[in-house]
Amino acid sequence: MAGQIRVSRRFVAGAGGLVGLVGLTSIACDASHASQAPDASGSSRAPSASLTADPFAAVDAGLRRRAVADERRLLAAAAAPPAAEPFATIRRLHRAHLRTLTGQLPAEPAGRAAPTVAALQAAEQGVAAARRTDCTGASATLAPVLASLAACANVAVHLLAAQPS
Amino acid sequence: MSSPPTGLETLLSGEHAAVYGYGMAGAVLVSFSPSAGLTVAVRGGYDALRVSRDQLTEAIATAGGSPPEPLPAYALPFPLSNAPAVVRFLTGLEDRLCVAAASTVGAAPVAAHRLLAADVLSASAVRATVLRTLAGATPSTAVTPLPGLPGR
Repeated sequence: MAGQIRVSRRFVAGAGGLVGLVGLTSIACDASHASQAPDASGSSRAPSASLTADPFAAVDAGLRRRAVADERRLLAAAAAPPAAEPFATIRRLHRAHLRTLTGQLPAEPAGRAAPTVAALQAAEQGVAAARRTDCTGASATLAPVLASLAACANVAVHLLAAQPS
Repeated sequence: MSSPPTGLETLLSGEHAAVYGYGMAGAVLVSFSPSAGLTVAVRGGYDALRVSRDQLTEAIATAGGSPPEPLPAYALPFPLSNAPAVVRFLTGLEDRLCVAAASTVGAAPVAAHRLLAADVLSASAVRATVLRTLAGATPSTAVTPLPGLPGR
């Protein structure tokens, strides 16, 4: 069947192999559909012809800017106490996100009054929800990154849930 | 005439395999006197995966697609001979489900389907973190900055 991938009996054994292969296939597809984003009705906008501007460049740039602003805010919010877990891990995650989004390693934010765990958790939850929504309007290239940022924010919420308030 | 792919089919195939894997894990785990935390994680993962499997199946069918059926059985990558092996196996399943979900987010042509895939990615990333923690990982080693994206 066109467009469908046969699943072999080895899926679990090589759930890795298969999904890994599928991942590669999808990545290859991304390159040819990099400027497509879905609409609510399910019809994708036509890919841009060569030598014309990518119609999603501006949309992606806006979504990326918003993600960068949120990551900077969360990095600053997790700045104190400096060495305690899971704050150190959460800072590392946001620094990695900023490096992915901007291509630059962000400076360590100055320490400031420690936020409450509940406040940081709420902030991470808000960012997870925002990135989840944003991935519906992004290009096929940026959407997985935004969904992954949402997933990581949910992981941070989980890490913070284990902390005393 | 073949129905149009929704972009969710591969992810659903992965969910079928993961449900099977969690079922196998739960079945063998009882003989290893697992910790309460591991028991909760396996049972919770099994239940959550069945729910999202059903959501994906319904979404594909509603869109006029053909939801892939589960296979009768799946080969295990290595023997589940003790609790750590079970945890390692499930962690691998979740990591691969993250990759499939992230790919689906980029490939799905319908916004609602992207949201479904994003939800699978988030849930799977959290479960993988829980499993790594149960295996003794610290927060710094239990998490990855960009779940589902190769090399991250």
